[in-house]
Amino acid sequence: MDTEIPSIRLEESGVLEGSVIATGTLRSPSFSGGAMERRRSNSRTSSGRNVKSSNDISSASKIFRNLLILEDDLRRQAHRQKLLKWQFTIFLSCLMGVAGFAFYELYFTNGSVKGLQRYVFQFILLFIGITVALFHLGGEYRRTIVIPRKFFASTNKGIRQFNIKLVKVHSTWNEKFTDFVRFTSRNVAHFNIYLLTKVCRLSKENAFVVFWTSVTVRSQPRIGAVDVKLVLNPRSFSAEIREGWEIYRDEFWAREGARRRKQTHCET
Amino acid sequence: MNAVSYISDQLSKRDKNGKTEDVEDKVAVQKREKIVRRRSKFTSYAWAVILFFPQWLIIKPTQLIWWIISLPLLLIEYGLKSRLQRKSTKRSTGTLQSISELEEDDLAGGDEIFLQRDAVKGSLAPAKYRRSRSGSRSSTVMLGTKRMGRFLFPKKLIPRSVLHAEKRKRLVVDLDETLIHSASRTTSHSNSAQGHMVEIRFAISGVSTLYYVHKRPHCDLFLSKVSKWYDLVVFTASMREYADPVIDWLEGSFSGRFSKRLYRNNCILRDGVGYIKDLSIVCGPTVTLGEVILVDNSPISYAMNVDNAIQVEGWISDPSDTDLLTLLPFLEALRYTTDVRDILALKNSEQAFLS
Repeated sequence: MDTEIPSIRLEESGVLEGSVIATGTLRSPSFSGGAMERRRSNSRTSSGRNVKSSNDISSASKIFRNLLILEDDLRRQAHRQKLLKWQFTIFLSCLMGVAGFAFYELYFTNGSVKGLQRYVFQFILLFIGITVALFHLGGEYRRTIVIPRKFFASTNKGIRQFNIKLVKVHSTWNEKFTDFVRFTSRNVAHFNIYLLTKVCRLSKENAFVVFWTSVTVRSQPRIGAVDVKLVLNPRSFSAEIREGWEIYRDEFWAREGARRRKQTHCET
Repeated sequence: MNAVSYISDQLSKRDKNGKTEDVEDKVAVQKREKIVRRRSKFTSYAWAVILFFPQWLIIKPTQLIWWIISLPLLLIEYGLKSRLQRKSTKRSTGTLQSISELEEDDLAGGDEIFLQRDAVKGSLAPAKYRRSRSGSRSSTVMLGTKRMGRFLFPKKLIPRSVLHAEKRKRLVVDLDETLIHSASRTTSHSNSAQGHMVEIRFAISGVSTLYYVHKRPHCDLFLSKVSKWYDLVVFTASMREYADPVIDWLEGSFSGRFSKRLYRNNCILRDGVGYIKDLSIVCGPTVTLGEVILVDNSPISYAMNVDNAIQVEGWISDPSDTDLLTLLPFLEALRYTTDVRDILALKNSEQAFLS
């Protein structure tokens, strides 16, 4: 009697949500091998139904769309962690540089430093020493440098059970060069627009302002899976599905890029 | 200066001669103009001489080279423009249609693409594009047979309803062996001295037992981070008398709170299997099953909602465990998905695509 309860409940909830009943039955619990078999046969019939009816959104489409959302947020996180790592690495290396200089001046120069200068150097050395110690003891070193460095490994450990993997995409030298040119021209354009509109008080219809605005439109950054992407595990998914995912992603970002350019054009 | 003095002399002479003033003025103006013209000619010659070599050696060749380099681009631009013009003349409505923000931003409003298997190479290729509006969707007919069906592209990556809604998804967490581990006083534990002590008194029997509770590594960090993204619900298969003090202790160590507590009496007991957690009781009028995630260590607990579960390794005493830490990026990314079951079902590999 007990075993019957959950499946009935599930079907009810499926109906309440307005989803297809077949989905509910597919997601019914299975404890034995026999139940697994039933589940497969169910899924086949339901997929057949989905393909026939043209108005249903295919599950592949829904999954890919959610994978896109997941991938985009993971990309954002990867950027954030990378930025954090660089910021604090530079900060720490600057501190260590100053400390090293003070140390060298105090103990390794021939003419020993005297007077107020000596006190200043000693103070700097002590101050940096305490700062670094507190930085490490307070867990900031771990948060800002150790964890960001392991971001990919640790994220992949977390998502391994879902048969997906986060990988870095290495861009070729000409892509890097194009990115650099775009980055430079975009920033120069922003700076010039700022100068022309705020400092020189030119209107937005002015030819120079219009020109620099068009430069910003042309030098928008590349979007999509340019540096970080999610890949489906080849052991668990067939080549067709993996290829479908790649096509879906590229197609979506191509459309998104076109949409953004169009929108900026409309605004200008 | 000589010229000016000459003019002034002439003028004074003519005054003396007694001619009419108008004629004199005209003549003077003409002469002045002549002088100015001469001067400007001179300066332009001077500039031409100065700029002769730079212009013909640097500027003109640079212009020529630049023109040769940019010629293909110009041709492309010209070709595109002419093509666009042709298209716009064909269309009666106009060239650019502005994107209305209020339009349905979910999958229904997007464009679609069909994938067909290339018979020779065996790879997929977009066979046919179709632009569909939400209004004309019912009239579209499926063409071609494909395993994955048709692809629909959303207008926005994250739908407005998910991004701007105030309601959050619900994260259901298990207690024992997921967030904490507890051992009674009698059982020997390697670091029982450092654990938090909880005394439990059962009202029915009146027996009190002492438990040492240990937090899993990174438990506080996990809870404080996750409470910013989700509504936290604790769902434990243990009894209320034991769970409540432990949950209170956990709540003291992070800023958020558990919005709901569910105990053994909310589970479904299945003989020979164990306590099963039915997630439909976590759902409310506003929260559907697609917005509920369960983090649990036991597959039996989530047997009814396999597609909502994230499995973690059961933890007892390993101090170097990082399972909760490694889940954080995934959980952060999962909060904007439209249906968590689409992602979490990927643990069944290809079965997820067949539903």
